Amino acid sequence: MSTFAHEHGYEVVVGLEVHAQLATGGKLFAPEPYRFGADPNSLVSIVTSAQPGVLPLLDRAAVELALRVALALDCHIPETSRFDRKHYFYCDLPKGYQITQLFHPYCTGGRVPLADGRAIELERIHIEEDAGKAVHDRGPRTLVDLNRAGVPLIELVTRPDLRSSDDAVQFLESYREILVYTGASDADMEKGNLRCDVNVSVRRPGEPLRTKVELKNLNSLRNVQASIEFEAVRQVEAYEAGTPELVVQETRLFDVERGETRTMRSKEDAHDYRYMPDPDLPPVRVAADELERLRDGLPTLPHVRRANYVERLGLSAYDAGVLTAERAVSDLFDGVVERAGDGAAKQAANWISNQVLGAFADESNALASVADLPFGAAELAELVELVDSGTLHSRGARDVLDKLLTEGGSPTEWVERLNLGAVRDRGALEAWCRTALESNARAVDAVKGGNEKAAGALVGAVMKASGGRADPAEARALLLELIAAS
Amino acid sequence: MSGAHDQLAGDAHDVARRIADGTQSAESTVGAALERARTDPFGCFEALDEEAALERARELDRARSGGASCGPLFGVPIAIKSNICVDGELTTCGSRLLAGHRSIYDATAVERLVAAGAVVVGTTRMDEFGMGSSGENCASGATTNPRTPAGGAARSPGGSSSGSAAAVAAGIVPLALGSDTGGSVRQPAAFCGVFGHKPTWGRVSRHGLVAFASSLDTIGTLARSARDLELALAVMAGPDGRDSTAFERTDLDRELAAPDARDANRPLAGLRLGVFDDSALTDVDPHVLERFTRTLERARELGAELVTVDLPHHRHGVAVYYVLAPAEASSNLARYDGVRYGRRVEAGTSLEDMMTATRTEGFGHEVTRRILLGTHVLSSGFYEAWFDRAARVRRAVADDFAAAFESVDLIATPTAPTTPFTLGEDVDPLVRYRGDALTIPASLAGLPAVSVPVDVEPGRTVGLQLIGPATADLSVLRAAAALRPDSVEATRGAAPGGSVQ
Amino acid sequence: MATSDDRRPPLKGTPDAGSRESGAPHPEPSTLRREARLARLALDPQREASLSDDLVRILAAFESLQEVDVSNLEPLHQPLHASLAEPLRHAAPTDPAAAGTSRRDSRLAAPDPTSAVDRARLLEGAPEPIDGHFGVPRTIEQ
Repeated sequence: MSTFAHEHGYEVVVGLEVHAQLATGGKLFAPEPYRFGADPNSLVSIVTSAQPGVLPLLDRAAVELALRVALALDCHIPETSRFDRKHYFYCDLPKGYQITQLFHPYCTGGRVPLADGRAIELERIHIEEDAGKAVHDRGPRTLVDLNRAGVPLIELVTRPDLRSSDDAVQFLESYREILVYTGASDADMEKGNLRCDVNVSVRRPGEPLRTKVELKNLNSLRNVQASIEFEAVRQVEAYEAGTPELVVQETRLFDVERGETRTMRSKEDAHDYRYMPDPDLPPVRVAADELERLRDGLPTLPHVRRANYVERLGLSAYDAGVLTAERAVSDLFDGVVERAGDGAAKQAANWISNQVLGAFADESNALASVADLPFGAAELAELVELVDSGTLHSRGARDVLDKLLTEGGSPTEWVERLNLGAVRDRGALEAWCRTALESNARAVDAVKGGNEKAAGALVGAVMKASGGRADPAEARALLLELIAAS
Repeated sequence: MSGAHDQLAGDAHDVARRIADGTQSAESTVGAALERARTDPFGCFEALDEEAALERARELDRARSGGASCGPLFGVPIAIKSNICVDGELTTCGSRLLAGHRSIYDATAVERLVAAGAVVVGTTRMDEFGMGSSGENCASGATTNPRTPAGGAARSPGGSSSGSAAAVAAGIVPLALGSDTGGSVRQPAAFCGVFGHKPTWGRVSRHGLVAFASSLDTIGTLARSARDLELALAVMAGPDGRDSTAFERTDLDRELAAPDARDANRPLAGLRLGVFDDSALTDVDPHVLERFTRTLERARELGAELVTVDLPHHRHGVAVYYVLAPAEASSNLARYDGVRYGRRVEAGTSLEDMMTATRTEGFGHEVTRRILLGTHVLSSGFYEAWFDRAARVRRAVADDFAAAFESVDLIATPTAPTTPFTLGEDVDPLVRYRGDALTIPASLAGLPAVSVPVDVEPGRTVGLQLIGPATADLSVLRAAAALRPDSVEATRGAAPGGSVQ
Repeated sequence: MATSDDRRPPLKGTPDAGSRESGAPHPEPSTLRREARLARLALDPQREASLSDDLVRILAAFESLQEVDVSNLEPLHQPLHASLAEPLRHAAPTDPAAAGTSRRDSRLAAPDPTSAVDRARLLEGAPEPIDGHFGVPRTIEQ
């Protein structure tokens, strides 16, 4: 929480640069596929290895995914964007330059919503290609694997509007969720397909910005949080100790083991990337109707869904969070509500967050995600209706759902096959009712004395006697009838 | 069936026809070309692949006797500049850094020529990575101009497509691919007394052309007749799933299919031919100017109307080019870092040391100079004053052409301001840069141009350049054919008197 | 925190000391040294002096560029054919509207596994193939 900074009268200023791999399964400008964990240099075309004479060819699927994110974040999308070359030498950069977008990015502005209702403004997002990997821990030489080279990335740059490490974590959680919802990225930090660099400075509130430090090597939310906190303390201490020269504009690496940041041997000579428009690629122009088509295809975003679940459907914030943690789960829930009505929300939420998600968590079955389910929203909606109409009681519903999870099929059929339908047959009901009346004399007296609520206990007894199968409404009517007649 | 007649006589059309009608075999034709290449006194080739070429020729002969139809270049031996990829062949770009480098794929242009029946006999020498106009900046040695006067000092074949132009002039092959960034096909064509075509930028896929300055680079053809240039274009042109700047060819196909409606006696009737005011050609050698002017007279006789045009920014061409081309070169040549291919020089201990040693020892002097120039004009503090400004003046050069083509159909200039210079001269680089003044503007604007040989006298060779509006490649080539309908003779002269390394 | 500052085009860098009042800034030997290093080229002092001299002379010869009024001129970075300046259609590969078009300026097809180069071939021309990788001098951080 950066309390140390606050105690000393400073505020922490954080800006993020977040790289996300686009989930096209391929490369941005080359034809081969990409798979995390494939044999080294097994997914490298002539284009990716920068053989003399090769040219880039833009993959439209990558642009489309990038545009989905831009639309979801309400960015400004200019009609034309361009690709530029950013030059530097490193063994994992085959062309000696990275194709990126500096002068004319595909989108600017926009915002990412935080869970607490704030929104963080963005500078821009641009499309670029990833570099390969240099492996240093396999002997005396550095080994270069180019599989990852050329994988499409979007780099998002925020304004320096975040004020704490918590803000940074909230931001990343929200952005990650949106990336996944829009299908743009798997956004898995552990696999490196979501990577974050952080700019941190501190200042007295109201002051202009002070010197910022860039933090790298942050491959988990925990590291993002810890590094910002360490760095804020370091900077405040430097200013308070009268040694502001300890805060210089530099890149620092986060040492995970020691939980501290340390200066990266500065690449001597400040970078000069010598950006240049890439003459091999035509400008990217996106037609307005194409943008509309993409916008129409966007899913409702998770924070909007959560607000909707709480405000319209009356779910708890906790349940709303559980249901939206994965888009497919939320889609399933929405599908039930759409079919069975808002009134079905609580019941559907209950089943999904308990039985369905429970089944996913249970490793003894083959169910791990919505895609594995042998049934869909229509079946769940049908189940809700069976309960609402009194055909099925809630305990029976649980049994049917268990059957659906293991075998699929139609809920109505399961009710019949399991003989779970509520019993309305007068003969059977009367037998259970008489048993209940006999063993609950006090309740009978109370009802007779005018307290109709006491009938509830009798109905409960009928349900118990019937093993849950009696239709409660019918049973209640019959009980009152029998009492009145006695 | 070698023997009775010269297997390589005439142009590519003639050779292909003789093979198709059974007069000679592909094998004997390719064999004859290889024989000449082996004994070539001019140093045209970087490498020959005799076995592959003969095997391919035999394959074609078998296909023909099996009744297969013959492509338009059936059995025609061709040479490829060594910056255009031929799978398995040496693609050295005239550089020490790529000495021994074999390409692992075919350029689209090569693929299409081969599909049309052509047989690649080898790759040719060139100024390193296309940088130079003399043929001397080549790691494996300079090529000499086959049209050097007997007993005279060896003349430059021009460059950078020096080996390809010389191989065509020497009659080793009827057709060769070159590349043209600021005149590298046209100027050696003029110097060697052959035809050379630089297509509209994007007309022929650059896939497989090793990049020098991407926004200017084109694959072009050298031949001994204008009709061969047209044939090669018809084979190579069109979009390519590997070059996103290559454009469709529907216009070309339409024009190719249309009957030739021109009056055979006045084939240039109705053509408005733009020429510069004399003051724009003050730097041009008198002999070149005389031949140029005489050819314009001929154009008039053939029906053309000469119209003076003014291109106010033309004079900035060299400056614009020598800012932009080195900038792009500094970028394109960044991939030669000793990591993935090419010749590595180990030095020091770090990655940077290795890369620096590899590049410092691998690149020749002119390439080093241009990389430095290009790095400079792109670097922080200089980008706006040089790169950005040059790109804007480039727009003005292109706009000037567009305006001129409102009132003329084609523009004629001498291809080069001089006749071929002597090899081994030590000249200020700026002098050589200015020698590109007449070819550069069309490159900047991406326009099609051709160099027509108007004097093939050894030592006095002159080319006339025709420039057309974007995509008007066929108009340019057909006007060239009208000016010089026949094939130029190959020279089979002995090795020139002067010697070069 | 000037997060955005790093992103701004490097157009407004300060010309090196020694630049003249008018016209384009000219390179100092120190500039050349820095730029040679950026380009991974090592120059001995003699070569550095001669190349520095070349550069100054070449740029001086191009000084006329500085006189052109470029205020109404958009930079021309590629003389692109007009057909390639039309908007992209983000059509699905199966979209019949996209099929049959002669435009191939971007890729529509799914990734093609056959386009990966056989690794042995990829590494055949490599200076230091190690265990399926490209080997280079050890480098811990960039």
